[in-house]
Amino acid sequence: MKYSGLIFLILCSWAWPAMAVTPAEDIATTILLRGYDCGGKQVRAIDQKEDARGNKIIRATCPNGVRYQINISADGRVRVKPLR
Amino acid sequence: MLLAGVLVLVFMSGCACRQGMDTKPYVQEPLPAVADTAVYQEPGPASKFHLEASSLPGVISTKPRKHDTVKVEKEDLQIEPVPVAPSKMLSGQEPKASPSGIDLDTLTERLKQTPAIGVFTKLAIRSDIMDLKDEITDYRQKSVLQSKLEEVRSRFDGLLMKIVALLEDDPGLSRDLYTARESIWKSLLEVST
Repeated sequence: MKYSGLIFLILCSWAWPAMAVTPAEDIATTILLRGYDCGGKQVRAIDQKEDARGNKIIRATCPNGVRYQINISADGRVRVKPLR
Repeated sequence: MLLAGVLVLVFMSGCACRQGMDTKPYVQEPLPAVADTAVYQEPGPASKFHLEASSLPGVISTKPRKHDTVKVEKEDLQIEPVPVAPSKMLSGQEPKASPSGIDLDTLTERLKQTPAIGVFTKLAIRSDIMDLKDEITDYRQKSVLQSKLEEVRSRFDGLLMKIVALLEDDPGLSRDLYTARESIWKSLLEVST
C-alpha cells in the first residue's frame, strides 16, 4: 500500500514512451497518407538533410524495398515522391 | 475498510428491498373523453409520435382499445428558430464553439499536442488542410464554389476520416473531431473567404 503510488508512477513512466511515435513510424505514416504503399508501419535507413533555407529532405526505405523522398518546405508543405 | 464495505452492502440491499416494495401493478384509468375522439393514424412519417398506452411497462390495460393512441401533431413539434449572432471567426476575437460545445481552437491545439501522431504526419495533415483551403479560395474567386461544393465536401470528409483513423491512440480527440465536423467545415468555408 505504501509503495503502490511509487509503483504506479514507475509503470506510467515506463509505458509513456511506448505511446510516442518513433520517426520511423512517423515517416511511414506520412508516406501512407500521401497514398503510397510502404508495406509496413516503419521505414528504415532514414537519411535527413536540411538546406540553408530551412527545407528538409528525408530519404527512407520502406519494408517493401521502395525508397521515398519526402520534401518538407520551410512553410511546412509536405511532398512525397518515390525514388527510382 | 472492511466495516465500510459491509455498511455499503447493507445500504445497497436496503435500497433494493425498498424498490421491490414500491413495485405494484398499475391499473390503467379510463381515458378522458379527449382520447376517445382521437383518430387512429397509420404509422407513417417520422414527424408524428404514436405512443401506445398498452405498450408502456407496468401498465395493465383493462380494456384494450384500438383508439388509445396519443397523437402529437407536426405543428406541436415545431421549434422556433433561435437567432444566432454573426460569426467572428475571421476576427479571431471570440472562441469558436461548435454546436456540440467543442471549442475549435482547443481542438486545433489538442491536435498539435497529441502524441498519437508524429511531427511529419502533423505537417502532412496541415499541408492537406492548406491545400483544401487554397482550393476553396480558388473556386470562390472563379465563382464556381457552389457547383464544386459537393466535390470539396467529399475531399474534406476524406481528410477528416484520415485524421480520425490516424488518431486511434487518442480516441477522445478522434471522437471530438468527428463530432465537430460540421463546425470545422463551416469555419473552413468562412475562413477561406
